[in-house]
Amino acid sequence: MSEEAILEARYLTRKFKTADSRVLTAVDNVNLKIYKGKTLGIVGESGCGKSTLMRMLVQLDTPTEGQIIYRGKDITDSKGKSLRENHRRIQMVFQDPMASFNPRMKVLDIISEPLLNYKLIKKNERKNIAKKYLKMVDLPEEFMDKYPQNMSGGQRQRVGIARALTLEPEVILCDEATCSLDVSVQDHIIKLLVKLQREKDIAMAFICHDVALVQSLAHKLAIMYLGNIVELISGDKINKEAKHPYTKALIGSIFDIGVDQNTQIETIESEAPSPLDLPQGCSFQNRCPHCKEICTIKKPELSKLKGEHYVACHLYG
Amino acid sequence: MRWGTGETLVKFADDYSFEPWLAESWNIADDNLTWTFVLKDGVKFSNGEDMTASKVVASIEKIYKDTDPANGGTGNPQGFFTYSSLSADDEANTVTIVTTKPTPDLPGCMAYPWMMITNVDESRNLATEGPIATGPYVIESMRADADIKLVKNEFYWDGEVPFETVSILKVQEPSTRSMSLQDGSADMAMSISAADRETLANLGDYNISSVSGSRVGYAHVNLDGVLSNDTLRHAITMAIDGKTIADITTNGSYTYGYAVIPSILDFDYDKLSFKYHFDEAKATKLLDDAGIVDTDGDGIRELDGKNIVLDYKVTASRQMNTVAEAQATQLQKIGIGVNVSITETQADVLINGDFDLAASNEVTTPTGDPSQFLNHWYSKSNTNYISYTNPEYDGIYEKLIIEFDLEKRKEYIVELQQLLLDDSVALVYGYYNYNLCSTSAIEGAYCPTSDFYWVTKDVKPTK
Amino acid sequence: MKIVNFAKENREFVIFSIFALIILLVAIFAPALATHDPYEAVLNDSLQSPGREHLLGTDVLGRDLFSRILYGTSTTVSSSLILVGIIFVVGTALGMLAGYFGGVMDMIIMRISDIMISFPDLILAIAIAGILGSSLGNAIIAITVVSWTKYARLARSLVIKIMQSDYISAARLTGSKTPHILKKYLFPNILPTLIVTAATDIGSIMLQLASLSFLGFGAQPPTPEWGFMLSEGREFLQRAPWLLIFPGLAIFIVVMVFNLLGDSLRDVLDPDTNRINKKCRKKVIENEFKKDCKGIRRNSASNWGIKWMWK
Repeated sequence: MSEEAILEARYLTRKFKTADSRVLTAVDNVNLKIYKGKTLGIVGESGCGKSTLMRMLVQLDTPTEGQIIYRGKDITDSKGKSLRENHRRIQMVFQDPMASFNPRMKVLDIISEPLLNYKLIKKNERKNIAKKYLKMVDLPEEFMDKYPQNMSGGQRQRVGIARALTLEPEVILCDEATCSLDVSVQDHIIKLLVKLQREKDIAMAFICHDVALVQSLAHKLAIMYLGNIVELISGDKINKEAKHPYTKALIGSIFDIGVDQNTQIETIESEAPSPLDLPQGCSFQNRCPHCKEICTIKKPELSKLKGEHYVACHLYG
Repeated sequence: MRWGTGETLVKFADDYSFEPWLAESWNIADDNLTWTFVLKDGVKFSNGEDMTASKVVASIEKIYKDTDPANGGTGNPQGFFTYSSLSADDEANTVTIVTTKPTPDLPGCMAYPWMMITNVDESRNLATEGPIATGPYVIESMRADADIKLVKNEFYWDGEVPFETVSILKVQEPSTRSMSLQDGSADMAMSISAADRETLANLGDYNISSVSGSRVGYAHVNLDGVLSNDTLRHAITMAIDGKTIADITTNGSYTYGYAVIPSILDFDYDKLSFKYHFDEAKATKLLDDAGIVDTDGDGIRELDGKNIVLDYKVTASRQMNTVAEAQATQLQKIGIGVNVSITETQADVLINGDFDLAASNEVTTPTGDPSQFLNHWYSKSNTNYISYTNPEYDGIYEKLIIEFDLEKRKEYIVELQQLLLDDSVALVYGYYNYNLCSTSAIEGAYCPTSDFYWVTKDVKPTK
Repeated sequence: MKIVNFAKENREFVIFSIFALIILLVAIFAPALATHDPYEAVLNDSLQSPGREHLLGTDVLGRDLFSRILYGTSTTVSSSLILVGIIFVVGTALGMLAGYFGGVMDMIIMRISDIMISFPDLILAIAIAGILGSSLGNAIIAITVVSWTKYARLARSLVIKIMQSDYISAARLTGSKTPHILKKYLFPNILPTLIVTAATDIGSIMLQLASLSFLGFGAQPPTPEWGFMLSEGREFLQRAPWLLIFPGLAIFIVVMVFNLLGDSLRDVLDPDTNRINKKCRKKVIENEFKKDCKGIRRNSASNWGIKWMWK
């Protein structure tokens, strides 16, 4: 897998100034690579900065530091026309489909709008386009005349995916695309995404807070904690070879039907610190059972452990 | 003074002749400047003190001091006369006034309500406590914008005081005043509207005292503007049916008349000749003959190429706005446009000359003589708002103000009125009828022509 | 069919629309409906009570009251609609500019609006009318100056809320340019609320105009305007009460109709979810009620309870 990454984040950082001039670091020096035809899963708790990261990658937000590289070119400062061109290549599926649709637009308009915006189709071709993409996401044709309010959550999410597909982007970022859905529906959506990726060779990034779910979809997993990537590991190896204490705790919190009823449930004591008030050194220090002195002084960097497995922890160098 | 709290040296009779009141008699010396007033004996102030000549002098001095324009006062009595000296002789009980200029109607000036005689007390707050005076009633309490309470003057010098207390209620709305008579919350009310007087008359149980007084309602005709055209002015005068307006539209609130000085006063109204009586046809013909016609068919005649639209400013008091609107409809019939606008006060309008017609409602004889009023048309006066300059008028006016002979004065006044009628510079509505209505619970309440005496000692409970 | 369904579901809106339409027709066809010229003063017919010759009587100058009230409809209705139209457009535009561009423009517009709001409406309107001179036109200007702020604030807050929403981000992400966003996203989502506000405002604007005219700062003689007519009729309260009753009644009816129209319009323009909720709610309540009854019926010991409920 020594291809070039199609989309890359280099030292990407996003800081916010608060009203009382403190600094909130939502994304801290993140380095990630997304490859064609592969899915990168990004896992972490609420508030760890995943959505902010994704919005920067899709250029709805500008990073404070760092670069975004697309096909080897630095697109961080794109504006105007070139920015619009970038949007054609890098698309996003939003977390809350209800909020991401204009309540006054029918599905027909929602799906055909991106193509009309870029003048890729004419007005009389809208219906055909809508039919095509509704079919692609396994929705019946009649849905094109409906309003998003009049559908179930799963159907809305599919429409969101259809919309993201219309411009035939090379990268699709999914921001918790399934978190508001029933488990059975989630499954359908995941299967749909896998199928589409295979058919169109799309590069995907998938944010989720549910490790178990992401495993079935992602080739690679990035675990994020308070703005930092703490571990980068292949999807099929995570259960056995996870090294970072946080990752291990996440894995340990997965309840499977076949889990041994007698296993001790490891919980993480205490709460995550406020992102406004990060301690010096490793941000996981107050919750880590293996915290050493160096952890309170120096922040661990994401460094290669073995092959494609990276960890940011003083336990491992 | 209207509420019976104070009195003046001289009083007006209903024909505007002078009657003695606090002064018994008066005479003038040959120099035409020195007047001697003999005061009545036995007059007491409401605090029990006697009214002496010194106190009368002190009272007059205070009034002049308080209203001195140099001190920011209104200059009201100063406009009527000024004195070079005042002296009191307590023994003989006389007051001597030496006027600075010959003032033929000085007794009238002394009858003016402002010259009410008070017992000067510098420590007294006149605004809240009222003055110490000689009238049958004394102010007990006075709140701004609220009722005034009067009580009987225990020391009243001129007989029995009929009531223990009198309350003066301030009611702005005429309808409310009329209704308060009807429900018994008031015994006496002033200035009831014509419509309501009709209602009261129909109800039967009320005394309606109405009199045509010395107040005239009229519109200044501004010669600075389109109305400088003589023909136009005469035509306008002829287009107005003043009688119908006075009788029907204002329901008798005005008595129709065409001269600026009310017919009821003794100034030979009948001798005046009025060339511009109401005659719509004649007015139309006059305009047509003069070439003032409507060329563009919009119903309004043009003068010098522009539509004639008169700017008519009125206030809403004493039905002047209704009169103006009625006149406007009559003028529209002969093709003259009118824009009636209602202002809060006329003062600015008049001073700035910002009008073609401006309504005004004035007492013509505050001191029994209209010479001050006739100042409006004297070219050197500062109350001439219409740019009227008539040398003949000026000549006669200057003779009038120094003439002491009453007969000669009358002659001059008649001549001045005639000039105004001939020039059509004042559009007279009529003479305002004062009225005072009372319930059958009291008797003796009547409205004098001067409108100065309302609550008097003669107003008594009905037996 | 669609219209009939619409009518069935929005009965109130249809009824009040019809009333408003009648009022508009009266305003437009007043010259045809009037029995006399409203400006014609026959001085000798002053203060006649309602009768055959004059349906609603005459005023002090002998003008027919019925005709004046009809023409007053035109004056009142047209002035009010114009007024509401102006403040709607001006207020919304300013509010949208403030909300969309933010920064200095937002600050300036909002500070001016704050200043306006701190004055009591009518007092400021009186002051402005006093400075400009009393006339119906100036009264309209005065009320405009005072009233645009409500729409500006509303538009601004709606714009700000919408601009922060995900669907605007999604629109940008899928290539929508700013004019397209304004047209398809901003306008359609803020207009319904603003239109409802304007509709419900018509009534109160009418009252403000009438008040200004009543106080002498609006319509001048001989304009037939209801507020002014009320003021003229005041002194004839006992002698000719019809001069107060009928203009007053006219104001009351028209204001009420437009107020109710605005209210019912709000029910119509609410997002569909609300309508569904209302119907669902009704059904749910009915079902619950039936279930309760079944439960009670089964419990024979409280049979008398049923009787009480069904009462």
